Amino acid sequence: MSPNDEARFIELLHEHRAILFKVAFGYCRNAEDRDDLVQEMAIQLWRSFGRYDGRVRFSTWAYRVAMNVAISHFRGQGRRIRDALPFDSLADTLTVDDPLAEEAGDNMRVLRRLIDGLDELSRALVLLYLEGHTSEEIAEIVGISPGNVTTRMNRLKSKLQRGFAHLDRTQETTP
Amino acid sequence: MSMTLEDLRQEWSDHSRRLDERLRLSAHLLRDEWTERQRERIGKRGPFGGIRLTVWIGTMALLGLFLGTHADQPALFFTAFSLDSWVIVAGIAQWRQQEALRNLDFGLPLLELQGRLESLRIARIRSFNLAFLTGQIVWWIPFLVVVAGAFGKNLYLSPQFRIFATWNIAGGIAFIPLAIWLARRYGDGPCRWRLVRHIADSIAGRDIAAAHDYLEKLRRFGSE
Repeated sequence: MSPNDEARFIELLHEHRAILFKVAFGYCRNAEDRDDLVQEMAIQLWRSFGRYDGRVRFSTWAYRVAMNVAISHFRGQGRRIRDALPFDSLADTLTVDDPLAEEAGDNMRVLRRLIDGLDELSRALVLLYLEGHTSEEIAEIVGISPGNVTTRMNRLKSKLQRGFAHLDRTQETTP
Repeated sequence: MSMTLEDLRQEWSDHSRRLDERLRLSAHLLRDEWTERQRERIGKRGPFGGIRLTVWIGTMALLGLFLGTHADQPALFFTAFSLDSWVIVAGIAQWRQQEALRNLDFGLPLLELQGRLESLRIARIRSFNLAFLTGQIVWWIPFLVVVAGAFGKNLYLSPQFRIFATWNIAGGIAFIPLAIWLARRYGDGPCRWRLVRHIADSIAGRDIAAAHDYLEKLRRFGSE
């Protein structure tokens, strides 16, 4: 990779860095694991950057890489794709507090608990939906049709709403 | 509570914005971390790893040397030749698997990349099972070659070793179904040693079954 490409990569990584944390927060509750996950994402972004051809937006591509790493990590394959050694200090630079955990309201906490109960693919759909992506954008990231996204999201919304109602009833009956 | 996901979208968005604000990373710091040394270390890290590659090449070179010096002893020559062939084939197979894993494009859509990862995982588990189980039958071959190469002793001429080798082959053949049965019967329970658990899951077929289930899940997820 040429110095120009590298400078461009760093610029793009800086611009879209929040994607890494949002995805990491969505898949990882433990702060230490989350740091590892962000490292893995940064490494994979760097390794895959040579193949980025601009046919999709950089943010779409970055979401794909970050979510693929997160799902692999989630499924216990993290160690095999990890090559973290050169990035120890980078992880410190990338470190961020977890405002979502510390400052989140009750609704957000409940939502996070419910998202934690979803499988890795449904979780990807919900996280992308909550981030404000359209069905077409979600379809492009996940690799399914927009119609499939809509169908699955409708089911997930009902499921999460039932989860909310259930937790609400539980709280009401708890003295 | 009549809370819906739409209601929470705005609240989530506010949290996301706060996360953006909290990020302590600056372009300047990031650039500083991206040093020449780190780049070199990433670049140098090949698919096979330096130590493993050295061991592989060294083993082939030693076996080649052994073949050259034992060409007049057919039994030792063909034993070493089969071992050398196995080392070459196994090394290439492992290199190809690692190369395929290394070259995976993580920028592919989730379902496609996860499917490819899982297929590679199945191939890796199968290779491990083959090496682990057949290794129980033929482990004495490297031993015989090392003794001949290092001490100049042809163990084929020893009646005791021939009996030893015969019993090892018989024991190794009997070990395979027994190991699979034990792994299936007892390997599913709690185990203190992670490595033992890994081996048991692998040879019992649980890992491959789980990988096939996941591939099926990906297919169903994409086909609706």
